[in-house]
Amino acid sequence: MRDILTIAKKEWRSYFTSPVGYVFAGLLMLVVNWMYFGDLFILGQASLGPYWAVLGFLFSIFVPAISMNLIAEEKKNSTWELLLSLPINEVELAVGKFLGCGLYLLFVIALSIPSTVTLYLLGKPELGLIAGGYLGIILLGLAYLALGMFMSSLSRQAIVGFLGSTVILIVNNLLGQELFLARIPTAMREVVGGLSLSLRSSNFYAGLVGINDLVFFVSWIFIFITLTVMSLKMRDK
Amino acid sequence: MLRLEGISKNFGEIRAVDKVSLAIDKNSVVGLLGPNGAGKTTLMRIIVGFLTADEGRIFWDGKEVNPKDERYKIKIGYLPENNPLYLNMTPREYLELIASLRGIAKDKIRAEIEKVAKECGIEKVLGQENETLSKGYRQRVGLAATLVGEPKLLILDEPTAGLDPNQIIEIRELIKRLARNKMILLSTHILPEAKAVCEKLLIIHRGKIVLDQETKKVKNLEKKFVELTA
Repeated sequence: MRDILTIAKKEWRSYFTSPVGYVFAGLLMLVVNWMYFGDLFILGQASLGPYWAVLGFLFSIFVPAISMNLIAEEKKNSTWELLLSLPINEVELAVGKFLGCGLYLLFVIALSIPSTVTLYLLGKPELGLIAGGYLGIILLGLAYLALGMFMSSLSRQAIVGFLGSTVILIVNNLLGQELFLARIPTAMREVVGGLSLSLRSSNFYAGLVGINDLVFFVSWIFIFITLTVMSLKMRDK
Repeated sequence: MLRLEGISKNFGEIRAVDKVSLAIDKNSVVGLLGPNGAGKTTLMRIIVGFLTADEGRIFWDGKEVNPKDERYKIKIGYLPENNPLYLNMTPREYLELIASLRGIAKDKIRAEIEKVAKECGIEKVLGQENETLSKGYRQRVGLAATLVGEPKLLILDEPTAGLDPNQIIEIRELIKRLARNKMILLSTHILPEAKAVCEKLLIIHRGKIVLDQETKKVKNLEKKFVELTA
């Protein structure tokens, strides 16, 4: 456990040793708030659903950007060779990296608190809806991160991981869109829509915290961390 | 003492290491020589547990060990080729990371870092970012990292590559000092360096050990190297 926390601390710290981590987070929040609050007073509804939907969509670019270096950079600089020669294994390395980057993601999500407080003061939405929204966006971010980390482990070139995960996440987003679902056979809609992380997270935004959705997110995260571990072990081939 | 018996490693159709057997005695420096692509780095990566051998066994003090085992890994300090450092860290932060991953108790990390920093002469740059250090100092930081936790065996992959002549002399002297109470396996393709530092020489060619001899018994190393690796 100590090794996992050591790696997590190293990873978390790396987002704050240069202005990049702050700039990325600041820009993301600026865009989300601009898009959300621009329409808020026109619609006249104090609902956070659209806020999470915009943030969730932007996560499909933001999360690949913050996760693209997780393993690729270690491979490129050969630091993974050093790390894995120490008394640490692939599972500890992958989980530590996921945890460190996940904590940074939580920090980014926490930057939305002033916006939700403002909204609460303006329209008094239900606290359950706010809690559900936060749970949904956290699970969505972590699921995107698990995929991003796996894609980062496939190549020494960070850009490959970034492009790969962005494309997959945009396609995954598309699977949950009415525009897409309306074009496929009715019998397949539930299955295809069920694969969409954004569609599942929208249930949380609406205050519907279902066990199926929770299991789906946790399984997704578990599968992609496991795939990352397997990818790290493939160095022997 | 570390002993390898019949170690082999394939990457697809390529036989990178072919039935290598060798021994490293206590308090000695063994030089692993060979042309580029001979299998030096692969062999070192197998010894440190980064790669897994397809065949063969590794023994530590006569007992067979699993190189992935954390109890074995803790006995080894490894300096990979090109000395990969986290450039955005200071040497202190980097050594703290290594110390923590080597399982050193939190309250002992500071003292451990000061000890290895003194040994490698990097006390004055402990707070400076790795990126701003000269290549010689970076190499010293890499060597200091290998010493954290007092490992008994050091595996140094081309530790003087890319250094200027003065830095090479400094690092050689440092390695000689470290060898007083450690086993060292040092890879290089600089033959005078091997003669100057090592007590035993191994020449590897196409994955096979083609020479295993005490340095003082090797006559005309340059000629022999060319003959064996041509």
